[in-house]
Amino acid sequence: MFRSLSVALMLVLAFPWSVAYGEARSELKLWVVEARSVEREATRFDIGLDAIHRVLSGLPHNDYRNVSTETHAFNDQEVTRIKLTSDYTLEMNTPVAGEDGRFRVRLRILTQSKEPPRKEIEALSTELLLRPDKQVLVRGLKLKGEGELVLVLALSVSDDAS
Amino acid sequence: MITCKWTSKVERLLDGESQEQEAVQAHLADCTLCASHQRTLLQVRAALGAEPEVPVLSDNQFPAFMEGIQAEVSRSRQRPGGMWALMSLSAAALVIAIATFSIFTGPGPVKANEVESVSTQLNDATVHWDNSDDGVTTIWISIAEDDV
Repeated sequence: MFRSLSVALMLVLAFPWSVAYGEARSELKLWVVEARSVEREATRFDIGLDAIHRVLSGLPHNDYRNVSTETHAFNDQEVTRIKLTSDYTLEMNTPVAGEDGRFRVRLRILTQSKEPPRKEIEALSTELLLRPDKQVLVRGLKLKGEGELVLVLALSVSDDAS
Repeated sequence: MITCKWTSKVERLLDGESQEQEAVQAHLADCTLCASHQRTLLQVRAALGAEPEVPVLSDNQFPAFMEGIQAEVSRSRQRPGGMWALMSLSAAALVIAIATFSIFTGPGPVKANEVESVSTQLNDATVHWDNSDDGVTTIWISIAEDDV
């Protein structure tokens, strides 16, 4: 009787602990935006950019076009390449969970060099410690014509069991 | 079957109840039948005396006897299983302590985003980063006007 109770108690108490320290799966939400400044009073946001209005409103533009919105679930040990525009490609490794609750991510934005011989170069290479659900905004890359490329990234995490 | 009228007297003699011990003793010296009967009785009594004595419970001892049984039964019910129970309880207590510690201390507050390294291979470009008050990290690639 006492033995059964003890074992049951251990299992019950060990369950939340195992969940808390279990493997987590990460998912990236990515907004690719073309930001421009046009002669207009009001700021215009494309449909699909609602979730990032606040982040974009800090930029010196008044026209935001939703180029694409993606959600990517990472598998183990993979490098993900996402075509952003005809000029830029995003490359990202699978986020690795750290002990402090943040995720280590290596992120590169690749483009072709301007000078011949044209080769792939890093428009941006960065290593980040990302807090889940806190956004990262990458800006400054020029687009053909006018405007700049704006990326907004947000990492979300779910338990493996779910 | 040949019998002797003195056999009952011989039995009373052996039981210590005879009133005429000398006469019976004199008869035993003359009567082979009674002498044989006496030997048989002595052998039977000797055999019975070798058996362990069975305790006899008197009526006034019976309530104490039942109380003893009840006390022993209730004591064995209360005994939780000795060493096994002690070890199980110790293990359960340890798990409770660890789980409580994990639940109430937790992994601590999660820090803000951090840019560990940043670089660009674009000509005439620099990269800066900062964190806003609401936790949004901005990485800004600043490129000269004539460079795409």
